[in-house]
Amino acid sequence: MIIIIIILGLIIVITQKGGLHLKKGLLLVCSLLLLLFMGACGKQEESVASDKQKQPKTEEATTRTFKMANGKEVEIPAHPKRVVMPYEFLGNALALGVKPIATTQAVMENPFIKDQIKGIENVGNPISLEKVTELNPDLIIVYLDDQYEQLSKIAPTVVIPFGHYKGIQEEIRVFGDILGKKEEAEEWIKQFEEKAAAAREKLQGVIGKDETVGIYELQGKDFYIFGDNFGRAGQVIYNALQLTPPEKIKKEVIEGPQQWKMISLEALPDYAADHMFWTVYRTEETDQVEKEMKNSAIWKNLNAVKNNHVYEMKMENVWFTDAISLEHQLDLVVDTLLSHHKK
Amino acid sequence: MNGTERRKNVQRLAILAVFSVLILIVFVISMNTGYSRLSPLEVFQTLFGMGTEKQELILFEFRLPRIVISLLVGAGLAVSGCIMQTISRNALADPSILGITHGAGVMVVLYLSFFPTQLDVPVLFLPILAFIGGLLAAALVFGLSYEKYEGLLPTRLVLTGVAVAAGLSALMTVLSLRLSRELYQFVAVWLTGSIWGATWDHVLALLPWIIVLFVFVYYKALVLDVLSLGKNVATGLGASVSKEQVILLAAAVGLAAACVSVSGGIGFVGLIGPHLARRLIGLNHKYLLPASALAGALLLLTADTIGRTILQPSEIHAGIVVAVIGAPYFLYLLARSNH
Repeated sequence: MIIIIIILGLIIVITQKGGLHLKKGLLLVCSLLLLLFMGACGKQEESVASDKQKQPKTEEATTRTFKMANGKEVEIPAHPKRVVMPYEFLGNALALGVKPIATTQAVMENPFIKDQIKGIENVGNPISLEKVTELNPDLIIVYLDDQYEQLSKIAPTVVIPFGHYKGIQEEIRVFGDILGKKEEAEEWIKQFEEKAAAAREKLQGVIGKDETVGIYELQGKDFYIFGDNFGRAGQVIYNALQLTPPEKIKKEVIEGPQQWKMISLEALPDYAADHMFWTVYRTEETDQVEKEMKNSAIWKNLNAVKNNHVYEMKMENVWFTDAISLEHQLDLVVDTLLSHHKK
Repeated sequence: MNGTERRKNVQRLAILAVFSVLILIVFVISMNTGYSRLSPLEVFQTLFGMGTEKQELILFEFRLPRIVISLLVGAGLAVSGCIMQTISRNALADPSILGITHGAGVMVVLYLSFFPTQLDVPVLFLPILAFIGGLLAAALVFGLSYEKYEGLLPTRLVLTGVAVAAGLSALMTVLSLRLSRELYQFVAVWLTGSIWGATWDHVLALLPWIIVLFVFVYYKALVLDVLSLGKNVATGLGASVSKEQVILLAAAVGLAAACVSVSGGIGFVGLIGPHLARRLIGLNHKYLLPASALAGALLLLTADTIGRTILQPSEIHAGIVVAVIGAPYFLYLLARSNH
């Protein structure tokens, strides 16, 4: 290919109509060729480098093949020691006793893992490929795949699409598989299910058998409803505590194409539940909209509002969906429901 | 050519040389900056195959593709902008006036809203879609503004472009309502322009377009000179105005669409590059075209280098840095022209 370009360049030079044009043409062509030359050298070096990397490292115990959600297989270390996990799965690793070496800043603001994140590096957003290279990981786990190719060059990379696994149990099993902590995963699942059963006991009599629970959010100036696999404690409310969603939410959101739905204030009564969990994502317009909402007849006529069964949750508490956060959210939801019931 | 002409040409060549040297300097600086502290000696060694695997990875897989893409996209967008400014006889024209960025964006959003995971597709799939989207949008603007007997009226072209861009932008907003939050962020970043994920595949995809179209457009430099004199004068001088306008615009669109498909919607480069070049070198397209290319390349490379050094380990996308530099520059121009 380089040869073709050189020939093209020569053609440009030759067909110039002489004089000053010749010099300029040469200048342009030379700069182009220089760039290409460096690029070509780079490519050759790169193939040599990747050959070196393919040789198995002798200190590493074993590697194994893992099949990702899209069917592609990846060679990953059997017992990864230096894991880079940008984005939101951090808690899953921590729950299994694996402390990643780096993640993104936003995840470290999770209030439930504050005491466990000392020393974890920040890879930046967008991910700084150079920093990740410097950290020398042996495994990278992400949920967005637009960076897959570049990251794969640094270390084996696994993509786990967000919300792909139905329920935290399945998700933790997969993480246990990837991180070489299968036993710990099963243990965690067992204790989580025991906790959930105990929580359901506590809620006997607090929420009637026919009462419904919904999850709503005011985001900016739009209203959203969430299902059982998109955060906002959905997994806790619907899966762990096995509370019932309103029919419409069940059909359109939980069983729908995506685990969330945007609705208007007028449509709210159609989707209302006897117990409504709220979160608010604030932007400049939110205060105004919130005031209007609370003053509107629609709002005041909702059963949940009349019975004081509206529970506002703090966004940072219910945003994350990893194992540790879910455990805490379980306690949080139960306590909220119990304390309201006592009133 | 008399004495003054000759002197002017030497001046112009000097300016081109200065641009090239500046690019070389920024190139070297860019190779040496980044999160990893590679000393100049290490960079030098790695360039000749004596670095460690890690160093080679950083330099050749992460930094160098970005640098090369910045140069190519900057040059491509600037030349495209130059052509558009000449043809529309409007110094404020730039590749996005034909709706290319928005067309590409609509395609990207359309695709992502139906196929959220890109796990199975080759890495160049999205750029190819973006390219097609850009071409379609430009074709739309062309078609709507072409008059059978009058040819391409510059004002009409610009106005149609603005309208189509607005329409596509609205379409994009509606479509992006279906996207998950992560994908929406991805699209938003893409629209402002980012060289973040540049790989050698992207370079190889873009390079042929740049080379072929640059050669072609340079070959037409005289035609551009004539067209810039206005339709009537140009026809008087024997140019088949409509035909040339369409051909050159098609080349400009091709360049811009190819660049946008690889780097997202980087605005301002196609606007400032040729603008700056014209102020320094004048209207002679045999010099103006290379000057625009060099100016655009320099601008984008500088923007990308700044963007990835200021906020480590995160970064500011190149499109934003260019806008931050570009807006004050235009205000400055505006202020000067009022005196």
